[in-house]
Amino acid sequence: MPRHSVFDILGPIMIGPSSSHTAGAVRLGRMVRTIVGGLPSQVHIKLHGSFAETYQGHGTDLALIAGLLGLSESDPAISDAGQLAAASGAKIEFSLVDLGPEIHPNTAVFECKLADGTSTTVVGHSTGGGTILISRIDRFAVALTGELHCLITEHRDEPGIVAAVTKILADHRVNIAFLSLSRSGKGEKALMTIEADEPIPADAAASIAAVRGVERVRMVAAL
Amino acid sequence: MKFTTAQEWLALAEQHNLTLAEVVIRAEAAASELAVEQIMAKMRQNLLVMEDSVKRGLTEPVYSRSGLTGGAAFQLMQALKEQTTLTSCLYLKAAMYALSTAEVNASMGRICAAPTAGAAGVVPGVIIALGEALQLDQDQLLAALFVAAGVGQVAAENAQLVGAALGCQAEIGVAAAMAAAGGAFLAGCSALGCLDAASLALQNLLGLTCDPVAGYVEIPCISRNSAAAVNALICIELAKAGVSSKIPLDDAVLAMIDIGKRMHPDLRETSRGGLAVTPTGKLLAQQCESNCRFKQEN
Repeated sequence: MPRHSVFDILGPIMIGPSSSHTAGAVRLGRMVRTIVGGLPSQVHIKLHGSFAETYQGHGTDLALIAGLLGLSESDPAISDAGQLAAASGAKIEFSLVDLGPEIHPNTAVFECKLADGTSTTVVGHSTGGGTILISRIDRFAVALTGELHCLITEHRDEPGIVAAVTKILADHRVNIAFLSLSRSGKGEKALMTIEADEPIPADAAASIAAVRGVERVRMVAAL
Repeated sequence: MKFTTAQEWLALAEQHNLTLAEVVIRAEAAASELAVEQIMAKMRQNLLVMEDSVKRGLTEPVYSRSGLTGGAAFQLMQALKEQTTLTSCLYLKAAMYALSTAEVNASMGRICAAPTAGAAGVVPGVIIALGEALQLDQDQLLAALFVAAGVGQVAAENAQLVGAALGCQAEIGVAAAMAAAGGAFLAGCSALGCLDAASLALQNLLGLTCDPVAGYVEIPCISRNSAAAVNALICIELAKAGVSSKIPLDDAVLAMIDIGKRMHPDLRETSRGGLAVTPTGKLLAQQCESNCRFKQEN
């Protein structure tokens, strides 16, 4: 069997000019929208590396905005994303940063202010051919590609929470493909990402949100 | 049904008395969870996007987002209307179609990657122009696209089809090989004839570097799409006339990988060599930079 589908070779249908700097950027923006739960009221996007150097001709800025607005990478409206964002009332601004040579060249930092007054910072990379990687949500290191359905909990670092969360998922017949955990310090705030092959049911998420010690649940559907 | 090399692909077609297109469709159905009708419908979507992108640049001048390029396909179309072109045949049409698609891509328009966005003009340019010249129906064009995709699949088996890995030969070169095989299929060539056309088309473009000005898929990528389309047509003519390729497609792909691996990184999509670092290339890059509006933070 050829490793590549016919439609990896002829396709995807996309808005040009670049799979990494345009299509991948749309997917990054859309992933951030999903993580923060909608279009933020204010976003400051910092572009690093090749994103900072070539965003203008690749329309990377418009592509990131388009993603935040929920557009797909084949939507011709991407080139009007600036006006669409202005019409939506969201305030989106950009600056260029140098995060150092170790950071992937196609990187964007999204500093989001949400309607409820909270803030979330998400760091993402366009890793080639339209694929993406989210590497950070606020202080926590993550590794999300948007290929699988994901549930993210923010909770207190104390015994029993992981067991309670995974029990709820097991009760809903959700098979966990990947699970990762990080914490800011012993007994402090922790973040868990759970990736599953199938969509995670909303009532499972609601039950998880009700677990004592769980402060926040984010549902991040596959892109 | 599955194949990883052109030789296996050809053997399957001969053993089962199938066309190259039928083998690709059956292999896709076996490898994916899609039914044949779904596979056909998906390819039809690709064709519709291709048909739109080959024409758009001819009806209006299409300019790139960077401002570096644009309007070439429209200019060529105007020259054709004014009868000042050297020729008005299939070759010119395929070149114009390829050019239009490449310009649409650079303008943030919608294209179907084939196999990449930067090389997206070659396959539709050849297949759609040939379809018009030979008055073929949509089903025949779809079959040709499956043959083209099969060539891309064989090449992608051992090679990353991106300029950063193996140079432009892996994008435009492979696109030309895909277009040549699909076009030869439309022209009624044998299965071996189709693969020979693909091999010749790739051989003609071996060694092509990726050195775009200012890092954009424009100079020389856009005009190169039109040249690769014409190259594919010549190889189709050769195959149709019965000329075979001494080097089979699988070997041409091996050569592409060997050459790509030896290619200096400065010539693989880094814009540190070739056209990108000529005095004019550098000047154009500076002009692009001055268009940037966002301020630098520390």
